[in-house]
Amino acid sequence: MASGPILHWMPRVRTDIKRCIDFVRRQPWGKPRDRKLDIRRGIAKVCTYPEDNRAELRLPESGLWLRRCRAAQFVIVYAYLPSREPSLPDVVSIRAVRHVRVANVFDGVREAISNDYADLGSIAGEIMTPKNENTLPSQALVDDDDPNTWDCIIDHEDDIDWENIIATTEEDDKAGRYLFNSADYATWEEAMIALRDLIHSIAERAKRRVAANTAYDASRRR
Amino acid sequence: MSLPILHMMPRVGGDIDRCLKFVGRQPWGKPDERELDIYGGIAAVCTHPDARRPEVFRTDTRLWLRRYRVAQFVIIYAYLESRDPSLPDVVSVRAVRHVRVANVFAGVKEAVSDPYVNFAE
Repeated sequence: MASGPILHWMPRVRTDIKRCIDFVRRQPWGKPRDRKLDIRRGIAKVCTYPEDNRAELRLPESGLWLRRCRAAQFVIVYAYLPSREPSLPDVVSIRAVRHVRVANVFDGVREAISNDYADLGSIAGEIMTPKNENTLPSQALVDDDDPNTWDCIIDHEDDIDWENIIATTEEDDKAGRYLFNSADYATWEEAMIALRDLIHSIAERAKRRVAANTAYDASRRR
Repeated sequence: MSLPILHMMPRVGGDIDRCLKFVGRQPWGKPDERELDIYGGIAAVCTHPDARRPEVFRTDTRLWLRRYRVAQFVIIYAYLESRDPSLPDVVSVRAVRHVRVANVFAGVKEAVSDPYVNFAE
């Protein structure tokens, strides 16, 4: 490969990297400088050997295949678009950077953007050419506060959104609205039996819905 | 040892439902066993509510949140110690979350129809 591919860097990736580095920084063992280097090396590796990682997931609408490259503690999710014209370069489109440990305690908490956020952008800057930086097709459409405009959204189902939890429970707590209150039962044993029944009823409902959705999906495939 | 009063917030029902649906959709999923994990986790929180350190404090609500990891789940709760010895403590379960996602590609949105076109010019 003579010239190397064009690197297409989704705006969302900067937030991903910040989140990953912030996580590392908070750990007693964390070495954020070294981990930045890991990410940089990982992206460089992806650009140098984009085909080394197998295509794993096809996006049905665009037909893009997503691949992943492990870089130390991180996973780089990307798409590789080989050029149709020999005179044009290939494209590597970085879609997400994730820490392999997805259970991040503070990921959901919004923090003020600090100066090192800009510093993190330099990881991309050292690899991207100025020409490429200006050609992000969706750049003008991206609003950092609106997930619907992000090119790449990481599923943070596992993350703990402390702010959201507080916001959605505080009013109920003040008003005394509970799903379950052990004080309503005469003994602790009775309360635990009631709790067990409550969780079981929720589980049964969840299982019925999953079964119904599976049956629906199956009938659509026929 | 007196056991605390257990409060579960209304949103917890939805959380448990979401967690078990997630488990149920996986080929490896055993929602029956995971249901027991959640129950066991809440019971454990009540037995040793101060076993987990407070992690997040909100100045407006004066509330410390803690988390307890049980199997695939995290139980978020607040432990309110009674100031009066004659009154029980309160464990307020605020959320139940799954700790894993199905795969690293989950949630990755479709790209613009053909991003390569933008670079070919």
